Order: sequence, then structure tokens, then C-alpha cells
Amino acid sequence: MNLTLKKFQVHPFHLVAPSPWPILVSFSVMSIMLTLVFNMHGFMHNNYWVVFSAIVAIMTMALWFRDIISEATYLGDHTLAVRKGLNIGFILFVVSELFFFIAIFWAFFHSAMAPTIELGGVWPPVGIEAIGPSELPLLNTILLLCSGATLTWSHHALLGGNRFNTLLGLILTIALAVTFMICQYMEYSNAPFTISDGIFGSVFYFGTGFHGLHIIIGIIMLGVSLWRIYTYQLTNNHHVGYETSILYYHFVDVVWLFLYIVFYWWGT
Amino acid sequence: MFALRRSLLSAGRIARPQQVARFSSASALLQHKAVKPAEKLSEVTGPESLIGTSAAPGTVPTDLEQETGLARLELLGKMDGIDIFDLGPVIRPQHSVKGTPDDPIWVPTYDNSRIVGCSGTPHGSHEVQWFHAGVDKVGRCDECGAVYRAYELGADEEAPHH
Repeated sequence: MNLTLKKFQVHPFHLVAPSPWPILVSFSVMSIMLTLVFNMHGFMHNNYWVVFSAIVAIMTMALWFRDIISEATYLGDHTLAVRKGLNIGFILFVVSELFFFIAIFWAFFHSAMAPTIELGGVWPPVGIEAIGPSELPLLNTILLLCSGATLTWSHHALLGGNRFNTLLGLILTIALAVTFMICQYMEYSNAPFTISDGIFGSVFYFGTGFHGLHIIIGIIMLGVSLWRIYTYQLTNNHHVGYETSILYYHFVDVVWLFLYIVFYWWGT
Repeated sequence: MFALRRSLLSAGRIARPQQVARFSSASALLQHKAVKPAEKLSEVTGPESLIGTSAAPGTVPTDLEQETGLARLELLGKMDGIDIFDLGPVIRPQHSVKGTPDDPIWVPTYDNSRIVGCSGTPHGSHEVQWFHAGVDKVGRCDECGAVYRAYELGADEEAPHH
């Protein structure tokens, strides 16, 4: 064996090199927060800075992820140990997301399980016409459950080496998720209450709004995965980005089921 | 970003000078198929033999086709049943004697010394003791007196930058 340790690093870990992206992301995200707070306090001509910060953050993230894709696909830095670390890191992130949604449900139950006298002592509060579980939310539930099925189909096709079914399943998943978002937009447009209509409106749009935001993020993640499969970057065995996207999407799928049961069914 | 740039620079160093002149871009250099990618651990000659090829159009790539760099080296090792990183403890089953000044237990290092943890001979016979084992100065375990000595790894011409 003409392999000598001197030619290669003897450990499987990826010691990341100096990069401008972490500090740029930090400052742009801080800018988003500050400018959003300024906006909420009525500062004039501040929208430009919110948009500017968001553009910087999105561009920096895109360039950072581009670097990670290069390191993974083209430089071979992602050994099994690195992939394990990425997976564990992403699982921790999903756990933090879980507790974020637990907080939202806590806010809902806090107000709904013992409605105060100002609400008329009932939930939904007096004067609020809530959206029932047999209306648009039922279609939304079916859409999301179907998208979970097509996503699993796509993943198994990738594992089995069937490129056409992988791409078809993933395109269908994204189409179903986009349809879900359109339905949510229609529901919001026609809802008889707003976010400022007391606690019901507040927690309803708090929960469903953040869920919708997470579906959008899931669509972006699956879109990146679709592009990387289309350009032959992902192999049948090494596709951490796709696996984490799938995990994330299924997570927001399950959150929707709880939203449906609690916000649209039990809560109405 | 800097990692990419440095890797491409080092890829340029690996290639012969006339090759570098011929390729107009880094991607063209990477796509160059002069060196066949190694498909067995025994075929690995250097970093340039660890650049994977692409899959046939319309198929899902496999790891063997496309894995590159250190990840490919690891894969080829696994296919031969070899853990190339060898992260397990240094156990010397061939002679179950503790290291001595004349016959120390050798420990690889990128530096001129390394912290080692001794658990005695045979393995696990006392609490782990941590101490330095140097290239020039051996390390001895306070518990059992075993001797460890480091030997340097790393590229000959270039020191690690971090």
C-alpha cells in the first residue's frame, strides 16, 4: 500500500478555515432585529434599512451555504464523522424549533383553557367567528399529509438510485407545499378577524403565521435539494442536506397536525 | 471561502507547472482526467487520485463514483475494511508489554508533542493518566511507568496553518 499518513490528515474532522461569513451574518441579523424594532416604534424612512439588512443576510447566507456545498461535494471535507456532527447539530436545531412551537401552544392554551371575563368567559371569545376544522384547514391538512408521502417516495427513490422518481416526487412535494401556502393566503385574506382582534387573533396568527414561515423555509430547503439532485451533486448514500431538509419538512408537517387539532378543531 | 482558495492553490501545486498553465480555470483543473480516480485503497497515490468522476447522465451517482478527497479516502478504506483515521486507543496486542525508554509506545503528532492518556498494560488496568509525550522528550505514566514517545506527521514542505 503506497498510502502514507504524511499525505493526508490523520483525523476525520473538518477544521474550518477563516471565513468572512459568520461575522457578516451576525451583523446583518442584528441589523434586521434593530431595524424591525425601529419600525415597530414608528421610526420614519426605516423600511429601506429593514429591506437592506434582509438582503445582506440572505446574500451572506447564500454565499456561506455555497462554500459549505463546495467543501462537501467538491473538496470531500465531509467524512462520516463530519456528517454525523452535521446531523446531530441539525437535530438540536429542530429540538429548539420544537420548543419554540411549544411556547406558542402554551400561549394558546393559557388563554383558551380559562378564558377571562373580558373574553366573555368563553373560547373562542365573544364576537369572534373562528375558522372551523371542516373548512379550508381540512384541505390544507390533506395537502401537507400528501406532501409528506411524496417526499418519502422521493427519498426512497434516491436511496434506490431512481433519478426520475426522485425528481418527480420532490417536485410534487414542493408543488403541494406551495399550494398549501396559497390556501393559507386565501384563508388569511378571507378571515373575519385580524391579528389585532384581541388574544384570539394574536395567538391564531402567531401560531399559523410562524408555521407558514417554516413551510416557506422548508420549500426553500427542498428547492435547494432539488437543484442539487438535478445537478448530480447528491449521491444515493451521501446527501446530508436532503436528509436534514426532509427532517425539517416532516417536523413542520407534524406541527401543522397539532395546529389543526388545537387551533382549528378543539379551539373552535 | 479561504479554504476553497487554499485548496485550489494546493491543487495547483500538485499539478505539474505546464498543466497549471494549460487550464484556464480551477474547475477545468478539477475536471482534468489525466489521473484516474482511485477505486481501491491500493490505487491511491496522492490527493490528485482522490478526485471522483461524475455519474452517467440520468442516473443517481454512487459514493464510489463521486466521493472526493478525504471522504473518498475514508470510503476506500472502509471498502477494504480499514479505518484510515484509526481513532481507537493505541493497543499493542503483538507484545503486551508496556513502553520502555528503549522501546516506547509511538504516538503520531502534528506538533512536537502530544497529550496522551495511559490506562496501563494490559489496556484498562488503571485510571487514565494524562501527560505530554514529546518528540525529543519521552512521556512517562505516573501510575505504571509506561513510556510514550511522539513522532511527527504532516506534510514535509508545508506546516499546517492553523
